[in-house]
Amino acid sequence: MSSKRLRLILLIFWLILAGLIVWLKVVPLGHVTYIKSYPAKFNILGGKGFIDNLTPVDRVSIYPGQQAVITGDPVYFSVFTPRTFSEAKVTVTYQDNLSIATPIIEAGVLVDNVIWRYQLAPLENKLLDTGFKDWYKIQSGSTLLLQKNNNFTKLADFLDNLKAKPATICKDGNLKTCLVLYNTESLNSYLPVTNNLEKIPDFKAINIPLQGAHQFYFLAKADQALKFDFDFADLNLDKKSDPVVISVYKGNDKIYSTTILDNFGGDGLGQVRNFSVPLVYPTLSSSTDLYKLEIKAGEDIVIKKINKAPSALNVISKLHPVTVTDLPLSFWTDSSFIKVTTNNPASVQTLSFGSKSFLLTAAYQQFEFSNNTKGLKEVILNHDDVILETDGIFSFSPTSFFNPEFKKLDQHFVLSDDAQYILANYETPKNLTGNLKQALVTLNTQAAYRENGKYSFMISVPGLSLVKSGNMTISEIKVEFSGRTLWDKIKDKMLSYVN
Amino acid sequence: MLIKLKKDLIKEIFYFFSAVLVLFVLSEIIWPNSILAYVNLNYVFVWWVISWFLLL
Repeated sequence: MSSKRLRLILLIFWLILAGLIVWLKVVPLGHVTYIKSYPAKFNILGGKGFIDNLTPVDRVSIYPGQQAVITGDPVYFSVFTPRTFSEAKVTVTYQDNLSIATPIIEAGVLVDNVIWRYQLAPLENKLLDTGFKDWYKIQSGSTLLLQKNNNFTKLADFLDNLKAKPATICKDGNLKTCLVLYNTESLNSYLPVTNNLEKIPDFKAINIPLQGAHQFYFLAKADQALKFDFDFADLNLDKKSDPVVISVYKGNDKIYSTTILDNFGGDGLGQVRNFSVPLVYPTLSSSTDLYKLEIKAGEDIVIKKINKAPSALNVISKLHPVTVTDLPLSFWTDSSFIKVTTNNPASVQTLSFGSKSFLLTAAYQQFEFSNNTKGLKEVILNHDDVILETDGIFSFSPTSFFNPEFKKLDQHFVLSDDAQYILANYETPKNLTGNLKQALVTLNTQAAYRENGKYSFMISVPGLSLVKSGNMTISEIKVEFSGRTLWDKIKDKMLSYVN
Repeated sequence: MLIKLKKDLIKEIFYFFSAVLVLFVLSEIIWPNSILAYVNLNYVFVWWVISWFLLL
């Protein structure tokens, strides 16, 4: 072979390589699939791959030639993508060595890096698979309806009734006790808002300082302007800027949002800056409605006082009271469990939950306390700087408590006689050979948080680290991304020029 | 004659690996992780060094 011919061949090969790099960067067809196998397959090119290893190391064991073993909850992995995508289908092939105390396995993608919120979807829910064998089952696509009595033969009939005549579905007309939901965000348009309130609880000033992001439910009368007044403190303990984003939601729709910028910057010297934020939003609602208030901020921000709100505020899921002068603190919840964490060794204490005493024996560790007594339960804290979490609501007083949420079919679910229907967006995982199972979740990555070209994913087995009951071994994680094609982008560009 | 041809061929291969290395490094600088995710650049560098040694 002459050197000129070889030069030509190598030049063509180099051009193909250059074209391939551009192709793999642009992903012109809008689809790409990345796979991570445990044990790792031999890779002749030695590339580091797109899916990072599962972390943190104290919750997952990864040894060469073996499957990854998950022993704690939750575990994370990030996926590098050369561009953004609108959807990710995550397929996990796993072996489940879990006990009955951990019936749920979920996977999700990080959508908010301030409050560390993951959009989760079920890989497996053993309660739905095996927990209701005598119930009547209708599965249509990914929507599952379980009925205690065979009242509906078609899922569409049930959903139509739920939307048009919700009071007729249950015998006593109380949907909140007879309907149980699981992963039904996509079915929200069928679900009525069940606040069941004859009287809107009056607002009383909240003088308990709350650290970081918090969410609240509140009600507002027809044509009532939404007026708020907050006192904040920026602790300036770290050097990051600390903006505060205040949003109001009606159902799933964000109707109002404002950002209070940290004009003083994050000096990181611990010089506290106090500021007040009065807000008025003229609502156009013609009826009494349920709203959600979201205050999104980092741990440097303390909501010192809430002086004004349209009605009583009830905290959703997570509460972090700090620097309280008037101890002990009391909150009310109707949940059967609370998760308690403190990052302050001085806050280790004996606390009370529904008249039962529980020991918070160490800092930097999450404790879960259960009390299956029905009705409203009081949580009494003898020290502040404790993070309280639950699957429901915390109220500042028993008279202002209301819980607009339906019952959830999670690991804490206790079946009562009232429950008649279970509605879920769920598909049972496939059984493969050798005790392996394969489950798929579809996640919307349009609003997902992406840093340094990486999406952050989570696999969660709620309760795994607490009950220390078994483990889950991962054989393969496959992520199929899809989004706009190059042609779609060109079309949009051309249309934007025309318009 | 044959030795010259062999030398020319090795020279072409050396140029090729040099061009590939430049392409990969520039791509990695412009689009981080776009090359390292697929290829270990150390391998390419080793082939480039081997071709350079053969050229000497």
